[in-house]
Amino acid sequence: MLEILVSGLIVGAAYAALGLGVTLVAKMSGVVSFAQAAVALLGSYTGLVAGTAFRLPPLLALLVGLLAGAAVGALFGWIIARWFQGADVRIRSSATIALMIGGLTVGARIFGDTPREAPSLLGGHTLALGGVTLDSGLLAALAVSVCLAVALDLALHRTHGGTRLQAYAERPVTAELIGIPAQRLTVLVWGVAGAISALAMHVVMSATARNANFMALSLLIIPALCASLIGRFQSFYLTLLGGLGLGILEALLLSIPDVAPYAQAVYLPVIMALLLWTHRKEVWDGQRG
Amino acid sequence: MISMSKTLAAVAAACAAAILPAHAAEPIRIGAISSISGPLPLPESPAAARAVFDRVNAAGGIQGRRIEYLVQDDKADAGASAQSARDLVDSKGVVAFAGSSSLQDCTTNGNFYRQRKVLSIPGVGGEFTCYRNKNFAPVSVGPARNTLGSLLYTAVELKADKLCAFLLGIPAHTAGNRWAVENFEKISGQKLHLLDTTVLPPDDMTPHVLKAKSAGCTAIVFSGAEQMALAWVKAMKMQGMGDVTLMLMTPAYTANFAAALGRDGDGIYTNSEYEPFLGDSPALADWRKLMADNNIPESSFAQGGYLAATVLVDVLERIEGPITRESVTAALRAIKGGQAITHSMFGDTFSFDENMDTLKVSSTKFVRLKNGKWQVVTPDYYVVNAIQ
Repeated sequence: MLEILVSGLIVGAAYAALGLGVTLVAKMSGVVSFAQAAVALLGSYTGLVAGTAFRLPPLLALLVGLLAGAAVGALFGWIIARWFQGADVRIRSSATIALMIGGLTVGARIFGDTPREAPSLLGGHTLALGGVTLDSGLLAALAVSVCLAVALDLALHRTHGGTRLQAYAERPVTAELIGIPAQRLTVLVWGVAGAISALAMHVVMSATARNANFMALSLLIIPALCASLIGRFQSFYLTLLGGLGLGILEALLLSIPDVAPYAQAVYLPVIMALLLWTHRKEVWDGQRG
Repeated sequence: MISMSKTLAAVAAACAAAILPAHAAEPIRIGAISSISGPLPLPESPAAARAVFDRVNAAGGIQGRRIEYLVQDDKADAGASAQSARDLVDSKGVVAFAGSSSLQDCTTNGNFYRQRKVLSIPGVGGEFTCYRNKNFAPVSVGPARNTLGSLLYTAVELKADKLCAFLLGIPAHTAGNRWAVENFEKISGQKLHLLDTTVLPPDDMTPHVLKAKSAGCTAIVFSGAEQMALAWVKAMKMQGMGDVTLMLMTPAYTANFAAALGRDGDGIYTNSEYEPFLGDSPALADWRKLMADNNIPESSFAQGGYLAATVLVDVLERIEGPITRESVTAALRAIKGGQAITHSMFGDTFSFDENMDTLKVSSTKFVRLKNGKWQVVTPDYYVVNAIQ
């Protein structure tokens, strides 16, 4: 059982770390970003390719990746802020689907289908837990993600800038009318989320055993969105727990032969159950009305 | 009046003169449907086939007619594959297909080819249908026979006592996986210690590897493609399973795979559907030179495309009358028994016999990583005779 838990943790850490980027963008700029995996991949791959081409030390290559992720994120954020500012939230989220397709197409052209090897964050140091060996970098990344979640939450609720951001996310037009620099804030949020997502993707490539080619990794957006949905696109803590929970559920299903072939389809019933549960009161309200 | 009719006659004669040679030089159209873009791009096979046809054209073509090779990308999409087949057969009038490497062609278009009486020699046949539908005769051994050969070699020759199989769980492989495991059990009289057919391309391999670890497998046959195999090896290494024998399939037999693992990969086995292309056998000389001249990277897929085109050219050259779809189909169907085509690059003979079970015999060679390089461990082909 402990084995399933730990292997689920390895799988779920990828979902959780990427989900945090989605939640950050959703909470602070009011858009569900379908493009987050594309941003993460464009960033982390740029770092890896630059690292190999210029023989950079691993940490410097990672930094290049994070900056590239921030730059791509900021560019996408600018596009959303510049042309979709006043649009309905559904239209803005749909625009991110277009950005996702564009980002993935460009990335697949540039990076091809060769899998990349990412160096471990902690120099390949490992840790044994219940008979399963983990890359310590994965735990470090999870710890960084938790710290980020706490820091972001505090920043959002305790600082003036955070209040402005929340005001902007809830009422963009009103916020702009009272002098909050909406466009710059959106670009900033997307940039920070881009860097966080690029870090998450780097860890996925270095500490988990996945087919590390560009298009295969881009599919991680589905469980990441699911994790973020569990956090209702608002809570960093629930996104984190949701991602880990999904990973553990997937590992559990894989261990039961009869349902193992359907382990990858677990997101749909989870999403359905969640939506039904979270909207249960609305149904009754609607019935009464 | 006389001068008018003379002029008309002259014009008619000139037209006839212009049309007749043009008709005689009408190209022989050969088609290919390949998944050149999409989740698993396979562009090497049609590229290698084109190199063969270009060389034939440079030497004057066949019966003075040049070969026009029409390749369409189906993007691994069944709808696009069906559309391409109809375009190539009905609009372009191809006489046959050679060097196709699609993830959809055999399943989607098999019945259409039967209706139109057109045959195909795929260079890469990934679907089990390619070996069941009698309108196809792939030169490749294919995933099902590769799996059977690898299971038998690992159990019998490497004497693995707790042999576990992790086979790709995509729908196109389901029937082939079942066929391979049933044959393995009947031929060897052994049962697999563990069979898992749930591995999918985007999976994290860790939970699967842990399953093998807790089952105590001493040898594993893994049928994922090259990039999945790299992830699999990484997970095995991480979970301390370095002493377990690992047998992979032909797609992992690449220079890239060996380079990515370096000495960490030492001891890993894979099989090769043809004469192992990273070796230095004289059987590879012509193929290697042609690939180099055309800047095509060497791979098993390029061997498949080359062989498919070479076989078709051989058959076209045997046709004495006009080369049409009917005559090509008849000539291909005549390739059986003593007429079967041999080539130094594959272990089996090539035939297009409607009454023969394509899956019956298969020959592959096994290679192993040593000092970060692939080395051939079976100089002779390892031949398997399937029971059903």
